[in-house]
Amino acid sequence: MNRHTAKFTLLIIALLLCSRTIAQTVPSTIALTDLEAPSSPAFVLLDAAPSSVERPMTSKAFTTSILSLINQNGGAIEVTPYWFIKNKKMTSYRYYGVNPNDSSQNVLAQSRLFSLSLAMVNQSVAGSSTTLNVSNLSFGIRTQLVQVRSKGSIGRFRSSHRNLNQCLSNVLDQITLIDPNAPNRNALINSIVQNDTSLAKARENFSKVLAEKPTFTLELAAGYNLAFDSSDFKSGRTGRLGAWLNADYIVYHKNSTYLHLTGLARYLYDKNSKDGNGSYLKNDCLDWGGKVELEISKLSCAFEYVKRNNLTQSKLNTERIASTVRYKVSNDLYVNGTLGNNFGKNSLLTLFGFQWSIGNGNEKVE
Amino acid sequence: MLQNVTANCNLRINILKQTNYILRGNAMNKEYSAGKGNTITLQVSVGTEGAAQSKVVQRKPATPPMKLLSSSLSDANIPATTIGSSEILMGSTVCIYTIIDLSAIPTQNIPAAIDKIAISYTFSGGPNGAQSFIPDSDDIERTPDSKTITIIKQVEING
Repeated sequence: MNRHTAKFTLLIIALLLCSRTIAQTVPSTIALTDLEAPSSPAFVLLDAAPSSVERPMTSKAFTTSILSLINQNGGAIEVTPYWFIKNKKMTSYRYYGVNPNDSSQNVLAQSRLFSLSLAMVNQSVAGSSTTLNVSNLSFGIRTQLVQVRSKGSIGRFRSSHRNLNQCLSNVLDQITLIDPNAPNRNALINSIVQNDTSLAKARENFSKVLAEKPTFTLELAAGYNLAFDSSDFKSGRTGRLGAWLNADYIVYHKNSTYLHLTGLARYLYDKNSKDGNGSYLKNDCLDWGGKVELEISKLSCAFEYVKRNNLTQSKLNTERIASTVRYKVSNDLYVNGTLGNNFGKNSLLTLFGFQWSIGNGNEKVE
Repeated sequence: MLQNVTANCNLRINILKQTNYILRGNAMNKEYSAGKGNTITLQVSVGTEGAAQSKVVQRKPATPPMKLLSSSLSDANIPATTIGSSEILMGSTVCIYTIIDLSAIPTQNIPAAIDKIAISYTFSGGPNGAQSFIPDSDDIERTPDSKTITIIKQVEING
């Protein structure tokens, strides 16, 4: 193992040591929608994500991703610090950004769930006479700045949440009758909770309301990339720096079918290309584009187009056209496939990747 | 390298599975001195992303439990509220029940949500002033799927 790979491994281990709560016993059943994790910004910065136009999604406490491309491979981890910090003033309404007393909402509520990511991608880059192996270490940050739900959705949230709390109150009335010092206290409590059909129904209704996607979301992300040529740690240089906005609007929705329109605006500072003398060139780029995505239950199909305007060298203007498919392959994995044309000249994009969130390995999908 | 990372993940998970991460409160004093002729108040603060409710009950030997306080239907918090005089509470146990439903939290985040739960109980009005308690590990019960957490805190009221 070379030195910079060893340093990266140590970084990964350090992050794992900080993410202690991932090791708690998790329930053995997971809803399918819980398995889908967004691409890490650290991947997106390197044009290595399945989709360059990411629909804003809620980050998980801890996520790992691996990918395999024709000329790239790598992995990423993403952590949401919010889940590791106590907040005495947090309530369910506050968490979801809904006012318990009226139909107003806090559209910035999800911004506290920002995530930090770290990725490493090995690339084979064609040089003037040889192929150069470049190792990339990327850092990313992402947050959902704005989330807007429809008035109807807010009303259903308040109604179902109130009903759930009423059921919890009724269950608690029964629990208060149990001797708190009874040796079989836990069994008695479990029996009350698990046999209460009103509570089960209230939970189901509340979950259905939460599964309704917000009408509009706006996400802000940024990334920084360190590049190492030919696995030489001393060659470390700024490869890329970028910031971007993704805005998603649901045009059509019926049951579990959604039609999304997602727009993208991105600034990139790139120092990965070389001139004729072999020196790295600085390029400022502006990306803009969009994606149309159709979600039908387990399957998601999308088509995206992104135009990259190179403000430094207009002759390097390029574009990305890709189609993406996401589908569940097994109970624990969510698979992405992408086919198209990536940025650059004659750059065929064929990508196959896995995304999963850490659990105890025994989860089953509902 | 990725194999090493995966192996490290699994090792870390196996080690930490042995440890209880739920509400690591220190063992706290479970008694509150009410004195004489005082009006005792109680405040319950519950910080959690889950739907939650709280109730407070007074228990005395050989008598049925008497309800004292309930949270509103918005959350599990109970603002500082009078629960009785020193004479009424003397020799009884005040039991504070909180139930938290985490079924709506994404399953992968439930362990973190459990660890984040922040609860405190503050009694005041006694001769020693305000005193706060937090749950001990043996105050906490959870269903096998970890989606429902019940916390029962008992505080003895004495002179």
